Amino acid sequence: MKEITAKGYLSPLTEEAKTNKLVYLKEWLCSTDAKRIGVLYLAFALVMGIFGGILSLLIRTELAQHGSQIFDPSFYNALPGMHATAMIFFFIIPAFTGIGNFVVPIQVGAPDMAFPKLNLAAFWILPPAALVTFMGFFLNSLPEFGWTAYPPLSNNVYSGMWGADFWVLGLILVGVSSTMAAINFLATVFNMRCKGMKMFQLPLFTWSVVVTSFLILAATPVLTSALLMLTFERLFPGVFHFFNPAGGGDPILYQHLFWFYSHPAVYIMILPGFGVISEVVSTFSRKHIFGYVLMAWSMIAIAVLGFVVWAHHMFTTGIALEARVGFMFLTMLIAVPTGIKIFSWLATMWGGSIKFDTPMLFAVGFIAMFTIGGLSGVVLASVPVDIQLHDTYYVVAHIHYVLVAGSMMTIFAGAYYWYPKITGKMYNEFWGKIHFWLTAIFINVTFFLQHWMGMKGMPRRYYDYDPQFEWANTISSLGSAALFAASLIFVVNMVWSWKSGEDADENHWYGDGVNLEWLIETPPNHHNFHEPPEWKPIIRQHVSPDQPGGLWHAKD
Amino acid sequence: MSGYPYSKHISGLGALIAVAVILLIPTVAFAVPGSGEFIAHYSGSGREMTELYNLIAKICLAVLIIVEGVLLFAIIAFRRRSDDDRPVQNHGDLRLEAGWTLAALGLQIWIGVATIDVMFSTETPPEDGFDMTIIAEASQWDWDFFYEFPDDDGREPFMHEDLVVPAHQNINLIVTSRDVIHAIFVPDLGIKIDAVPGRNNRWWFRADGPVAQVRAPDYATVGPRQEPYPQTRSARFRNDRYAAADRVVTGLERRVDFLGWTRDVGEVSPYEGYNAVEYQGTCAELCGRDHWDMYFRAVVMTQSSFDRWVDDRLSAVDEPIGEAVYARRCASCHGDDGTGDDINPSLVGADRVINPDRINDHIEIVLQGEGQMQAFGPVLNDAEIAAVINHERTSWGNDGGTIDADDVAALREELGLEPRPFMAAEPTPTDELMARGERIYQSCVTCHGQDGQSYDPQAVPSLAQNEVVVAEEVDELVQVLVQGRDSDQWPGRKSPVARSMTDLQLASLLTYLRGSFGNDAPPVQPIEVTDIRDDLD
Repeated sequence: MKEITAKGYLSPLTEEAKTNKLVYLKEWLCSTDAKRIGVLYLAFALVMGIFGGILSLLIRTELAQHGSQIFDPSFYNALPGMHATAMIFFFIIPAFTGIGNFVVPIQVGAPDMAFPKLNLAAFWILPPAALVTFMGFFLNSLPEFGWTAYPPLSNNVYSGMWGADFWVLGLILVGVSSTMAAINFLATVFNMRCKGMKMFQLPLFTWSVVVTSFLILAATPVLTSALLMLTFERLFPGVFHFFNPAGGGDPILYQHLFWFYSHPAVYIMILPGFGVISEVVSTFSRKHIFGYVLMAWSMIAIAVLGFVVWAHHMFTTGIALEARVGFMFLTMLIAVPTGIKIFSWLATMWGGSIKFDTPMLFAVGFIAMFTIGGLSGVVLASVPVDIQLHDTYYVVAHIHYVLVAGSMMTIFAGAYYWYPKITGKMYNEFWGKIHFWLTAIFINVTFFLQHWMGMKGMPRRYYDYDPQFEWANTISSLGSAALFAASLIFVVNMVWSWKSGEDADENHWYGDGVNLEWLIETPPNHHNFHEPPEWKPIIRQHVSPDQPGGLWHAKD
Repeated sequence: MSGYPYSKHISGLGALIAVAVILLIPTVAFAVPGSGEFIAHYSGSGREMTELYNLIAKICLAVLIIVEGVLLFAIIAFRRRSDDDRPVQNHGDLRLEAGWTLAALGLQIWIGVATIDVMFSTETPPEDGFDMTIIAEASQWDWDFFYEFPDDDGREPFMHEDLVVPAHQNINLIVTSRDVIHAIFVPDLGIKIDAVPGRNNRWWFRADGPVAQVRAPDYATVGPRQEPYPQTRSARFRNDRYAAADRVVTGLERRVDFLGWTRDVGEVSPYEGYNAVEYQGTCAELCGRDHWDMYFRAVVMTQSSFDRWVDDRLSAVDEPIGEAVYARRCASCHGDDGTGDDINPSLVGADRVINPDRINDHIEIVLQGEGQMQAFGPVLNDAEIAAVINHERTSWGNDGGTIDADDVAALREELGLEPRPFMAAEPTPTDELMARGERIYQSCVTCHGQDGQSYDPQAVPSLAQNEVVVAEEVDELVQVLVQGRDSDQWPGRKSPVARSMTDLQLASLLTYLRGSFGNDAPPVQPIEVTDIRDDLD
C-alpha cells in the first residue's frame, strides 16, 4: 500500500499509520491536536451546512408557487425550525469554532489549546448531538414549532411529538459543547500567549474569538435553563407551570429567556466573521488594520450591548411602552460599534494596495452586502416600524443578509484565506472566483425581494400565501437553488484541491501575512513551533500618516 | 503602465461590476413606484408609521450609498498596480474615528427621537376616548371577534368571524388567545399585536374606510400635511382598481383576493350592500399546523352602514331560514309541499302542526323523532328547529302560530336532552375526538399505562372500566382533571392536568378515555365540557 507522505501536522504519528489508512483515520478522530480537531469541526460543519441547505431548498420548493407543492402543512411547519437549527448550531458556530481551533493557538504563539482533551470532547459531543436533535426525521415526529419553540405551542399539549423532546435535548448538548470550547479558547488566550503578545497585540481574529467565548459563557446557560424548563413542562404535564398561564406561569417568560441567549447568539455567529474580515482586508490591502484599538473595543461594546437588547424581538408581545423605548435605544446603539467596524475596514483599504484573490472578493462582498443587512436592522430597531414588519418576510430578508451575506460569506473568506495553511495546497483560484460571483449574485436574487414581500405584508412561516406574492417567491426559490449549486462548487474545490492542488508557500498571500501562522511552515508542524516564538510588537496605536512606523517601514 | 498583467484589469473590472450591481439593486428597488413603500396606509396611526419608515429608509439608503460609494472608489483607486506596491502605513486617526462614531451616534439618536414621537402619538389612548371596544380572540386556527357596545347604547353584544369597524372612530381592540400565541395582523390598517393566552393586549386604531381616504389634518401629528395621500397599492404589482385617492366609496370595495384554504373569497362578499372597504387580516405568529390559514376580513364601514350591519347581525339575518332547513332535512320524506306519501304522514292540516296547544308536541317529535322519523335534536340547533317548525306551521295553508329558539331550549331541558343553542360549535366528529384524544393521552401513559391499566393499582387507578370514567355524567371526571385531587396532606395525588387544556382538547381526552381500554361510554362534545367548566368556576 502507498505510504502516506503528508507533511506537518497532517503526517502520521506512528509507523503503522503511514501504511494503514484505518489507523491513520483513527489517529485523526482521536487526535488532541487543535489543528486536526479544527479540520474535523470544519468537515462536520460542511456536512451539516449541506444538510441545512437541502432543508432550505425543500422550503423554497414548497413556496415556489402558490398552493400546495410537495408537503403537507405539518411537515412544512417543521422545516424552517430544522433549517435554522442545522444552520445556526451545526454549521455556523462549529465552522467558526473549527477555524478558531486551527488559527487561535498559532496566532497567540501556543503549541496547542490549553485543554486538548476537553477540546476533543467538545467536538465529539457535536455529532451525537446532531443525531439527537434531528431524531425526529427518523421517528417521523418532527417538532413543528420553529426554532424559537414558543410555549404554549411547544408544550406537550400542542406538540406531543417525541421528536420535540429529542430536539430540546440535542440543543442542550450543543450548549455543553460550545461552553467547553469557549472555556478552552479563553484559557488558551489568557494563559498561553507567547512572549511579547500583549492583549492589545493580539490579531483581531483572536480578539473576536475571545469576545465570542465570553458571549457563549454568559448566554448559553440561560438558553439551557429555558430549554430545561420547557422539557420539565413537557415531560411532567400538570406538574410544572413555568409558561402556562392557567398554572400561574407566563408564556412571555420563555421568550425573555430564549432571546436573552438568542440575541447574543447573533453576535456569536458574526463576531468571528468580523475577525476573519479584519485579517483578510489587512493582508490583501497590505496595510495594518485601521484603528486597531477601537476595533477591539467595538467588539467588546457589541458584546456588552448584545446582552441588553433582547426584548427587541418581543416588541409585539405587549410589553410596556417605556420598556420598548429603552430597548430600542440600546438596539440602535449597537449600530454604532458595528458602523465603526465597517468604516475602519474601508479606511484600512483606503490608500492600500488591494489584490482581489478569492478571500478578498468575499471580504469585499461581505462589506457591501452585510451593510444592507445592518441597515435593515436599523429600520427594524424603530419600534412602530418593527411591529409592522415583525414576523414578516422583511425579517427573513434581514436575518439572511446578516447570516448568509454575513456569517456564511466570512466563513468562505476564512476557508479560502487559511486553506493554503491548513492543507499545504492551493485551491483552484478560477473556481473560487466563480463561486464568489455566483454566491454574491444569488444571495441578492434569493433574499432581496423578500424585503418587498415583508413590506407588503407576507407573514413568515407560511405554508401557502396570497397569490400576489407568487412571482417574487418564484424568483426567490430559483435564486436559492442557484445559491445552493454555487456552494457545491466550493465543496468540490476544497476536496479536489486538497488532493490535486499546487503546493502552497509558507506565507502564501504574496508574503503579506504578518501574524504568527504565516511565519511558520506550511502546513504547520504537530506542535506549531519548533521553539517558543517571540512576538515582535507591531504598532497598534494611532500613528499619523506621515510618520513611519508601519510594517513596511519597520523592515527598512 | 506597461507592466500591468492583463488579468489585473479583469479582476478590477469584475469587482467594479460587483459593487455596481450591489449598489444598484437597492437604489432601483426604491425607484420602482410602490416597491419601497411601507404597508400601513389606511389608518391614521398607520400613516404615521409609514412616514417614519420612509424617513428611516431614506437615512439608511443615504448611508448605504456612502458606504458602497467609498468601497467602490477604494476598489478602483487602490487596486494593486504592481507586486512591489508598498502603501504608506497609517494606524488610525483619532479625529476621523471620533467623527464617524459621533455621526453614527447622532443619526441613531435622531431616528430614536423621531420614533418615540410616533410611538407615543400612535399608542397613547386617544384623548376623546374610545368609541367602541372589540375583543379579538384567537384559537387554533380561527379568529372570533366579540362586539361590545357602551351601556347606554342598548345593543346586545355579539360574536362574528370578521373584524368589522366603523370608519373614523377610535376602536379599542383587545387581543387575546384561547390556546397558543397568535398575532393579529391587518397590514393595510397597521394593526399587529400578539394574542397571548392569559393576557389582554391592546391595539387602538382609527381607520379611514370608504370615507375620504386623505390625510385629514385633525389627526396629522408628524407634520400637518394637507395634500391627498398617495394611492398606495402600486399599479405595477396590484390590480389598480382603487386608483383615486380622494374619494368617497359607495358600495363595497373589495380588496381581498385570498382568504386561505378554509375560507372561500366567493363571488359575492358577505358585506355586499354596505358602504365599506375590505382588507385582508391574518395571523403572524407561528401557531401550529394551519398557522397560514387564519385569514379573516377586516371591514371598515361608514357609520351608517355599520349601524345597519349591527342591526342585521342582531336581527338574525344570518339565522337559519326555515324553508331551507325543511328542504334539506324534511322534504325527502314529507315532500316539498308537505303532503307526505304512503308511509310518511302529511303535514298539511295535521293536528300537531296547526293546533296552537300542541306546539310542544310538534317540537318534541322533531327533537326526539318517533317510529320511522329520525331525531333531529342532536343534528339541528335550537334556532334551526324553531325556523323549520315555524315554516311548517305557516306554510301550505297551515296557521298554527310560531315559536322561537328559547321555546326549543326550554323543552330540551325539560326532556333532559343536551343543549344545542344557536351559534354554538358544530358537533365534532367522534373520529376526530378519538384521534386528538389518543395524542393527548400520551402524556398520561407514564402513570396510567398505554392500555389504561395502571402499573400500581394501589397508587394509580386503572382507567379500564373505571366508574368515574364510564359514568353517564362526566362532571366528576372533568372536575378531577381540571381541579385535581391534591390536598395539603397529599400534594401531587392527582394533578390538575387539564387546567390549561381547551374544551376541545379535554373533550377529546374524555372521549378517548371513554371509548378505549374496553370502555364503551358515549363520546363527549366540547360544548358539554364548556358547561361543566362554567359550573366549576
